[in-house]
Amino acid sequence: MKKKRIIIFDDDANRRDSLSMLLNMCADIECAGTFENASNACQQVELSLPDLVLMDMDMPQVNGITGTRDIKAVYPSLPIIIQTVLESDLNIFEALKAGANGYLLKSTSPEKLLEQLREALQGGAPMTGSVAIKVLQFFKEEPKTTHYNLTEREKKILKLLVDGHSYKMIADKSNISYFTVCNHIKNIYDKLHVNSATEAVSMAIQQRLVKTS
Amino acid sequence: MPNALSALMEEEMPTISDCLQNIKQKFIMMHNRTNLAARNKYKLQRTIFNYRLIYYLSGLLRQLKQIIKLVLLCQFILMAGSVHARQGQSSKGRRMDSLLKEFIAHKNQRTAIETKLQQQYQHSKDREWLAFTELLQLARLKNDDANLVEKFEGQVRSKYRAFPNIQARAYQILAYHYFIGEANYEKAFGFYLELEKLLEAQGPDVISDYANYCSEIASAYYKFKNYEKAIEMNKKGLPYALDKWDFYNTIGLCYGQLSKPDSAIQYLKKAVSEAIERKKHDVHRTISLGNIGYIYYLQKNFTAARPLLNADLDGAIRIDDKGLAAGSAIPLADIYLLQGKSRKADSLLRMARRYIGHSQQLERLEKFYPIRSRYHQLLGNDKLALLYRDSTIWAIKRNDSVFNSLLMMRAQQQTDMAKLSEEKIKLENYRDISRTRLWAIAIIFVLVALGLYILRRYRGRLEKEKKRIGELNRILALRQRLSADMHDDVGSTLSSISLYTHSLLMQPQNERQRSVLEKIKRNAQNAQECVGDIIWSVNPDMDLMEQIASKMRALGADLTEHAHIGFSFIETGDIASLKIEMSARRNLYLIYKEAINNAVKYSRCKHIQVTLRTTEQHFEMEIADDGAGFDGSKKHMGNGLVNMQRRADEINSKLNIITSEKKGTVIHLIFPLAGHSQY
Repeated sequence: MKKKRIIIFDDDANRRDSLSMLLNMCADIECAGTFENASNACQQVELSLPDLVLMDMDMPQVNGITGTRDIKAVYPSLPIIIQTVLESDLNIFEALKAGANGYLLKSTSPEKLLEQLREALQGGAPMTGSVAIKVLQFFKEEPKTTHYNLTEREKKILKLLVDGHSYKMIADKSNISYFTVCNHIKNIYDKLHVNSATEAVSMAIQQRLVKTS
Repeated sequence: MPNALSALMEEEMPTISDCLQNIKQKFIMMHNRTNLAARNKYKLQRTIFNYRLIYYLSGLLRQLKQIIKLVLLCQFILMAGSVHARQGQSSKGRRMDSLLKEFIAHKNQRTAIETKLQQQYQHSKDREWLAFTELLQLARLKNDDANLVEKFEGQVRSKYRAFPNIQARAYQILAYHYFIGEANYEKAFGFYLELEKLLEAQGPDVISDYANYCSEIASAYYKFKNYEKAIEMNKKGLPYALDKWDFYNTIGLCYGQLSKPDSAIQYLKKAVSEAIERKKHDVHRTISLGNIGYIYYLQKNFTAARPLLNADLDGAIRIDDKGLAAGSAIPLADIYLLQGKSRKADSLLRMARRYIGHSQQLERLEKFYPIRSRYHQLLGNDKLALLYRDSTIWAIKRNDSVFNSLLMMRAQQQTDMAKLSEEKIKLENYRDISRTRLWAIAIIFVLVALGLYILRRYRGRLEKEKKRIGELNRILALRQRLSADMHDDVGSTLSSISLYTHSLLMQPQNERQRSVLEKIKRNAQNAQECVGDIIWSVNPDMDLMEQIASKMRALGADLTEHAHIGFSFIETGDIASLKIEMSARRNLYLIYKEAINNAVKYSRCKHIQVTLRTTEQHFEMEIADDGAGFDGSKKHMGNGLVNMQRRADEINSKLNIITSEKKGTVIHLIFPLAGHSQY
């Protein structure tokens, strides 16, 4: 089985080392590269050919949001996971709007970290309550064309997330499978990206949306 | 591989304690810096306040100066106005004077004048014309009706206060009436003194007949033998007089009486030339000449005296003024006596005696008798000489009793007293006014100062409030930043530790090593969680109970999901409106966390149910599991339960733990709301 390649962008050397060590210890993942800042993000992606990018939020010169945008402009289908210290960081939402597929707190336990990475590699998208509030707000404030507005079910799921339910609890409550919940979340992210990400990205997503809806 | 790895780890992993030291130092430095800043700020505030005070005071002084300038300007305007008014007065006065002269002189024109005056009043509505009409009445009737005169006296001072010219004229009329008409010299002199006072107060600009009044007053003084005052009054009126003869003449006579013959002659000569220049009736010239002659006579310069006295005598006879003739005849007779011409002297003396009788100027007897006595003495008639001496004494006494200086002094005294008391009242009034003015100014100043002070206090308080709020905000921001920084540094280090240990765990380890590594990892994770909780608890955005409930649910879901335990989280009551302050919310959350952890780790249960209930009085939290329960004694469970109880006590809450082996465990907390749920 080919190992999945992950690259890390982080200005903290400590973090880079510990994460890469952890990833390399895994059987199915390997760390394809660690970089201090995202000023040459696209080049580095091109050189390392990863399957997933872990992007730190606060970096000098070029921060996580810009890095995400840069990469997504060239590689729209490459999943990018943002790493952040505080959950309440407003920039998280900005990064998500810029095209990130999800975020992780730096304080998550290693097991959970790996779990979510594996999910992301399979196309899933992690989301938490605080982000869910912001998503709801975003869609409320900016009336978009009806194509890409949230459906009622999606709104409900977001609300449950806000209240602290896990994906499993949501699945139980809404009488749908865990897998369906993940799909819904993915769609929500896509709609978010369509409304705010770069054109190339949105083109790709639009195609996907058309297919699924 | 593991050896290399561990070697790498040893080299590069920084210790937690180093990290913490670093953070502590940073915190202390920041703390010091904020203190210093606060102190400097206070100093600056004081200086700013001082400057502000000075600025306010200087502004106030400027205002006061402006006010004073305004007041002075007003005064100046008023004065200028009054000067203008006075000038208007004097021309009117002059008209009145001339009208009065006509009135007194021509009896037949009196009614015509009166009607004209009535018309004048109707036309101009000037009350002064009305007063003048009344004055004319007085002038006409004074000799008939004594009561009218008395009534008028009382009126003069009060009624005609506004018309000084009328007042002056009234005094003059009254004084003359008493002097000539009733020979009540005391009263007459009183009025003359009033007139003098009035002239002094108003001045020649207002009183039109100023010069004549002065002359009359001077004559009164002369009659009362106060020669200095007579000269003074005459000299006062002299500049304003058209016809200066009477002035010069009287001044000359006064100097003569004061034994200053040179000044006397000087003035009398002026009188003579004045009489000639003014083309007056010759008698004026001769009178003055006679007066000069009299001076010479007193100086025993008989050669110079005789022709002058003769001229005077001739002049007097020509106008048939017997008194005047007697006056010049007597010294002439004395000269003849001293020159040995007794017969001539005798005829003159006899003529003089006759004239005195005709003219009834009995005061001249004082001069007559001594000469007659001398005559008899020269002729050797000692008895007659003595007789005439006695008569002289009698005449002197008589004159004195009539023109008693004491009377005059008393009249003077009375007027002085009146003047003094008036001035005293004026001064008192002025003092009262100025005192009240001063008080008013002082009170205004105090009020203004008070007002400024209150304004400053109020503004100061506002600013203080604003500053306090700013301070609080800054402290809050600082705290948040500090906690964020701490979280960053500490958090990342802890996270690294847990990642490293996890990496090691993924390698094959022996049991002992594995358990140690697990402990390390758990410690690091706990520390991370604690730091995360601290950050969360000081975040003011996390006020609402609603958010805490969400966090609780998330935590519960997370823990139970991994342990494959069923989880239900129920909320009842109006939880959304609850606001719980920072420390209480932290404690509640930590109690909950401890309870859930215990349930998940130790109870071996299948399902955990959490219930949150909100009522008006309190907030209830219940964590129930269907596990094995535990031994009720606290010792068994270690620190966890002790901490829970402590936290519950800190927030004034009641904590109940009901546990049994069959039914599982229920942890129940009641948190009272009144007094806590304000922020």
